[in-house]
Amino acid sequence: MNSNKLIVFVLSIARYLRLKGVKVSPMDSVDALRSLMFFENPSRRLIYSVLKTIFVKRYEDYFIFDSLFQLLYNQIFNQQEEGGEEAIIQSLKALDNIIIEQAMESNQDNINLGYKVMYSPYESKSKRELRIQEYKDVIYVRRSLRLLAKLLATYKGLRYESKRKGLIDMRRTYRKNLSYGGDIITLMKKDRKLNKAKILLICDISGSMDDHSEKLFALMYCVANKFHKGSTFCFSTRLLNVSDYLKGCTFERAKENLSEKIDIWKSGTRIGLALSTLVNDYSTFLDQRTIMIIVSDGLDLGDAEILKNSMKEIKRKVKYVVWFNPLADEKDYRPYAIGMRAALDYIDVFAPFSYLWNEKYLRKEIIKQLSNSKSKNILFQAQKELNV
Amino acid sequence: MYNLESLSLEDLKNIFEQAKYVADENILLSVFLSLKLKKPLLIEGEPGCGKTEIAKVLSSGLNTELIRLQCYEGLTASETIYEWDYMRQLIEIKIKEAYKDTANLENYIFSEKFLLKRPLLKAILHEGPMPPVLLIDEIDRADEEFEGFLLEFLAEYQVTIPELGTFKAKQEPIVIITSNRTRELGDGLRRRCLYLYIGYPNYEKELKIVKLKVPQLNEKISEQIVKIISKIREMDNILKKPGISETLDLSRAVNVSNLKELNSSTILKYLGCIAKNPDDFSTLLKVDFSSLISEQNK
Repeated sequence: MNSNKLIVFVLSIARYLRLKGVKVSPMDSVDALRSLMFFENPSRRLIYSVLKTIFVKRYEDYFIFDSLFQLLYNQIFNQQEEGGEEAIIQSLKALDNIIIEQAMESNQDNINLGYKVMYSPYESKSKRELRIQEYKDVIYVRRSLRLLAKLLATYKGLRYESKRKGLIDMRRTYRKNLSYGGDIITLMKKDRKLNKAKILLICDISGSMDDHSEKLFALMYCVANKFHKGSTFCFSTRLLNVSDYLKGCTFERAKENLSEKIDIWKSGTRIGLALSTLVNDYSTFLDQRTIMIIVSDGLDLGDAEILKNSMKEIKRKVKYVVWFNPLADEKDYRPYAIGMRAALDYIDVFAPFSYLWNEKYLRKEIIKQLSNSKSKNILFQAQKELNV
Repeated sequence: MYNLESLSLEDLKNIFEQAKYVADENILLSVFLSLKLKKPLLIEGEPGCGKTEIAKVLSSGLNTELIRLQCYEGLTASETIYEWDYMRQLIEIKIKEAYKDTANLENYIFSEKFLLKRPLLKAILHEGPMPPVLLIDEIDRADEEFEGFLLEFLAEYQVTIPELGTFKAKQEPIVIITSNRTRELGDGLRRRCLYLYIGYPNYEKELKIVKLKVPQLNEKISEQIVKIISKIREMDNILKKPGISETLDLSRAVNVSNLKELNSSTILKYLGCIAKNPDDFSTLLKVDFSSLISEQNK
């Protein structure tokens, strides 16, 4: 095989992979060429395997590489024999057009669905095509979740900090007592830092929450992938554990998974039933290290008693219950919906959904609601009004 | 004894064959390029598909030391590089004081004698004809901060101890990093490594593995086991799909019972080898294995 042609091929495939969003650095191209030099007259299969090993850095990108390799190999090597350099340039230009067209197709936004969002208690099996959205959402929500986990930390990590009580810190003791010639006079203590939280996210994906699907997806993706001990569930008429569809996946693949494999999007709302399933079937997820985050508008006309009992049980088992409600973004909102009313007594922090994308407001709200100034917060006011 | 400089793809194939590891072309080529380009190899894949085994095979085949760093949440850089043995240092100070021999004491107590070497430092200080195999196992369990530290280590292969100075690896270790994909790894780490994904094997490969690892098992039963396992993997409602290690566990369990033919009651009896959580256990209890077996017999 002509080495010049091989160089053109390697550099072209690296360039097209970059166009397709696969991160291939110039150093990778150099490595690929160096690797191919280990073999005399490498076969098509060998070139394929070598380039795949060097260029592809995540499982999801294998499929992009496979399709590009086939396309490019045929374009370059088959036409090269016939038309020389000119043919290569022509075929690469043709390939440019194909790739650009594909990229434009995938970036097209979905058409407005044009239906009115409303509550329903019934199940309708439907899938949801999640629109293209920016990864930025995940970054912002990650900051807020980290803040939340830090403020409401539930368990000790493996890192130590200096404390007055705890284990003897040999390192600090030794350093502190060096001035006494090694005689132990002052004992330094250490204990593990309280800096971790296990997050359990429960998202309402019923019809009434449909407008927030994209944001919910970013939140679910973030909890599943950016937190070691994060679990994600979603519910409408049923409760589903979706962690496995999100964990370890790229943003795009996770979106596809949720669009294709979840069939309860835009269905009715049965919060009580979903939470009782959580209590009965997934009790291992509920412990004193858990912060349970519920994202729902609370529009549930189901049996309030089931919801109340489930919330009671959940509150007993987990450390904190945090409820984010998209309706609370409105200034005059009061949590009077039947679902919200039943759950009120068992919520530690109640905040508007949009605060998950606003670190400053979220911090203020959490501190306010966990401190003694309860009279200022919306939750306390609603409870008071309901009692009256 | 192999030499890394002159090691060929054929030699590597022999190493894997001798260790009874069924390696396909992808695995062989990735390991080969990692050795030749002196780049770490990041292996991702389903649990129990032989990721860690690759490092073990390499160390035994190349006749070199295997240094294993098992990652876990909260793992810090100091736990992976070095720690001072404070207790011994204190005792030593007392002894020296008793003998009134305190000259040059500070240098003495901060010497290598009191250094507890952890895996990364061990890999750097390794002396021998062959570089050691450094296995960084289940990196996805470690924190992102540790991943960041690892980037620096993998770029320079050097460690600085303030009291002793900087240690640079005489020969760069062969680094194998494994991940079960429980969380997304950073792009920086991916960029510095060659990448290999090991998925579930196809029927032929898995049968070959079973025959190689459990040679005493009846051939017909081996085939049945492999087919049943691949059927279970196809089931959507199984949360933790059985890997190769589960296939081997079941094969060994069946082998012990000296059966001539596989039946549904045997599979149900050894269900613990395949199902690793209560949900999967109850799902598999409902599966009609007898019809699956009779289907295969036809």
